[in-house]
Amino acid sequence: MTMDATAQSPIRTPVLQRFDRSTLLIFVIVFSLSLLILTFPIIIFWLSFRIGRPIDPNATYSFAHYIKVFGDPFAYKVLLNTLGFALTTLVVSLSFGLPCAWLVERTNLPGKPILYTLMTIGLLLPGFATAMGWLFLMHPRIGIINAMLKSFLGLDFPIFNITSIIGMGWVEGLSLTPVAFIMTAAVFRSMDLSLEESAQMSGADFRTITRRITLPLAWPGILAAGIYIFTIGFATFDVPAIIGWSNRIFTFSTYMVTQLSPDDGLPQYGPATALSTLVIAMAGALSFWYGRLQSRAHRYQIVTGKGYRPRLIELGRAAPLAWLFLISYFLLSKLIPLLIVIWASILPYFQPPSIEALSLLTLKHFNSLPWGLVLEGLKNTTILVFLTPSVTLICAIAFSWLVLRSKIPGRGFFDFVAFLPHAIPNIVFGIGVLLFALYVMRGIAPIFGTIWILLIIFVVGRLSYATRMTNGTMMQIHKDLEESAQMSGASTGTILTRIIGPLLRPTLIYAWLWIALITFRELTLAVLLTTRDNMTLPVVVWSLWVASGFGQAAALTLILLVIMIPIVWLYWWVARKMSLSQAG
Amino acid sequence: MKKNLKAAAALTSLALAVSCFSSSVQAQEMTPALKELVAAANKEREIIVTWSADTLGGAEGAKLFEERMAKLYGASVKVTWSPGRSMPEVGNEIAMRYTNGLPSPSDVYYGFSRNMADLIQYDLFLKTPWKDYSPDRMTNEIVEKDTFVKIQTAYTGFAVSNKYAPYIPKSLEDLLKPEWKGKVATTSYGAGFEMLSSTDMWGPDKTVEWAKAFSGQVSGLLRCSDMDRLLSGEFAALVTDCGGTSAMQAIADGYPMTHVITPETAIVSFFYVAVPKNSAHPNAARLLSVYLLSDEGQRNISKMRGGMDVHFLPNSKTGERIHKLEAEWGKKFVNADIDWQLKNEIGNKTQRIVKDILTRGK
Repeated sequence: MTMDATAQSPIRTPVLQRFDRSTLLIFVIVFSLSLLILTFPIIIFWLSFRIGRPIDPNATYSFAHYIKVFGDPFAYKVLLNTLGFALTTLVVSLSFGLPCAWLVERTNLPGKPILYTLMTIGLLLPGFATAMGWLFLMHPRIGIINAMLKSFLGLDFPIFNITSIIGMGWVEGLSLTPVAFIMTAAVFRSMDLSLEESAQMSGADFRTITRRITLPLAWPGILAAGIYIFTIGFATFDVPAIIGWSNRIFTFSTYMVTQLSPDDGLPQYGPATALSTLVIAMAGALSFWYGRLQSRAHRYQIVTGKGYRPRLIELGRAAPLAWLFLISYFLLSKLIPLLIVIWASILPYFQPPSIEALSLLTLKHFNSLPWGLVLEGLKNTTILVFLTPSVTLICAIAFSWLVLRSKIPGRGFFDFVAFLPHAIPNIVFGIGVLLFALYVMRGIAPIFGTIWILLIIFVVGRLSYATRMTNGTMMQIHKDLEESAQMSGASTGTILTRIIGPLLRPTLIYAWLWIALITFRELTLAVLLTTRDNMTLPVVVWSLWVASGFGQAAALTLILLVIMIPIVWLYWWVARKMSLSQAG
Repeated sequence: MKKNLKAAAALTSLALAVSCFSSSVQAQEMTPALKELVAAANKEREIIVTWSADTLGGAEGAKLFEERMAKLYGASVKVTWSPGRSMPEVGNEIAMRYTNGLPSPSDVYYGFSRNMADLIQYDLFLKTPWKDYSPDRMTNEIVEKDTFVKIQTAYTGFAVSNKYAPYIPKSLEDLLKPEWKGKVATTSYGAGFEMLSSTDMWGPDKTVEWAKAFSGQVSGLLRCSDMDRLLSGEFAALVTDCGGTSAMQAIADGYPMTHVITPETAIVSFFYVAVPKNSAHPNAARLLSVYLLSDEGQRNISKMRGGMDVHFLPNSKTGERIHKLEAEWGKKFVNADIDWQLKNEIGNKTQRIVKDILTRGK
């Protein structure tokens, strides 16, 4: 482009300054994906009223599915189970996560980087792995802990029962503690603490300060974490499937799977979509309530000088106690269940550790794995691990650009759409995608049974997280840079690749790795949409659990964890470098 | 280690037996129809089978079938096993896919007579001139509706862990006693209860009454193949156990299990194979079916399935056990084949009620 041409170009405003090809591409990406995201709940809503097969031209419409579902006491039982499970998950994860976050951000606890590392890695352990471990630890009949306690205390009944709503919530809560930690640590980190220090100066004790100042200040952030965890707990599949299903305890996700893959007839889309519609309404109400609370968050804001750094609380002699608490958490949530999975994988059938059991050790579960399928699962997982974060982040940049840098009327709506997969349980989107593939795309592009259907749902499922990351960083990039580039004739594409991209790079690398890892361990969404041809590794583990018993499933879980190690290490290395560069 | 040695010895003897016998089978003339089938199967080159790990040996079974079909028929067909959900679930997935114009997840459907009877309404399976392939084996007694091939007899009974059961039950009523409370599992699909509630057996009222009492005893849901969860002590018995195959295999492998059949469950059913219309490799699937019913196929099935085969074929071990029990009880076993299942409307209806009672804990 010559200077003359630039000089002749009209003066641009920082809107979508001109509709060049890159801008058009951004708009197409955002509009198409928004349409796709909105299509899923619409299909669910539509089919919840449709009587007859979805493709039947003579199908009619009525409330029959709603009457069937809500006339069945079992559906209420399932919903109550799910609420109980999600609430227990929430309480457990916050009970461990909040103190951990407080210890790291507000005290002089030694060894904080280790805690960060362990928490992050802990989040990446698949829920089904720890669920298997807990089943063998606290099952009322075969649980090792129960057996030991019964023998030690001379009881004839088990102390713990993991095959209950509380037990399942305990396992899921421990699994989601790192989420509570990461989200609330950010709250404690950014919290201005002058009020606390003023209270301390006025003679208030620790309890009063915590109750009257710290918790109210942190409340909006804790609430955000709580809603996020509750939503995950509501829809999660692995823990209810491993522990609950075989013990006649159904939650929303396992109930949905039984409806969509029944053992006495064709899939029951009607009742499944009717119940999903209720869940969408509940999620909407929860989001609305959250939004209202967030709008009042300014009440907790206070004003202090720039660069203010609060004083850390001296732990003194309490430091070893704090570490004892943290070590107990890691032993309970990760290490012991994993050791039990290892034990289960090398026994012909599960039994508590004993001399007799040691004489039975075998590698038969490893040797008899269906290696062809495992390799195929690994191939599909690898493709998805690379494609999902890449596509998600491209879409997220497009969304953030359109929402933050354009002045298109109603652009906030696209941000709302990108947030939807966060607000609505992912499994509902999974059902939407399944129906979309079967009844909308069947004549256009047969994506059912391919990895593309998984790519779609994984991208949709991670879009909220990705856009929060790109929004956050893009807001910190001043528009002057882009405006200068525009004045020099740069296109939107050039600005994105040459200016925004490099500035976003650390965030993008971090988010890419995070999404890759979450994709690697994803089961809830995959289980709804996989067939023999598009199985991922976690689904192969699940299939082995139901088709071959826990020995082979445990063996493959261990292999899966070993494969994860280099990716987790890479993630940890990048995260560490990023935190060092930020500190620098 | 002892078990491993035992398993290794069993596999070695199986391989030896198979290789010794193969010469006699090879000597048999293949019919022209079978030769054509082999040629057609070779063009398809592969076959995917989806069933549980203990159904026909899982991955190892698939490998064995591949090798044996190559040896016996000169077939060049790769057999790939994929872990499947329960038989009813796989059947319903085939139906769902068929009605949506999608390929079947399994080239051969392996199912129980009740599953086959349920799926008939979708007109899902290919009619095949089975008798042309193997006139001696694929007789009218074996092949139903020119579609379904019986490949194994199935008992109606229950699997019991010798180590964790309070005692070996002698009747279904025994399982209602307090010692069994919270120790029993059942299947999520009410396996076997359509037969128990048929007019040939208990009838619907007695079955439902029993199921209501039994529901309070049940603490979990298992798949028929989950014998390791009985061996581990998670549950002490699986009632009923859909054919007895897994328990019989565990017993054959030397595990402390018992398979119980009582006079009140003197009814046998069958496992069948059928080729879905949406199979991607229908000819290879037919060839595998022919192999499974061959003399060698039946002996291999018997080795993989706890000594079970089709009880009215010559030299059947299952037939021996059934005849012995019939003599002991003074009553004949009922043969619950597909036609029987189709006529058993009361039993099928009652099974759904029982299933709800047992799975939902009503």
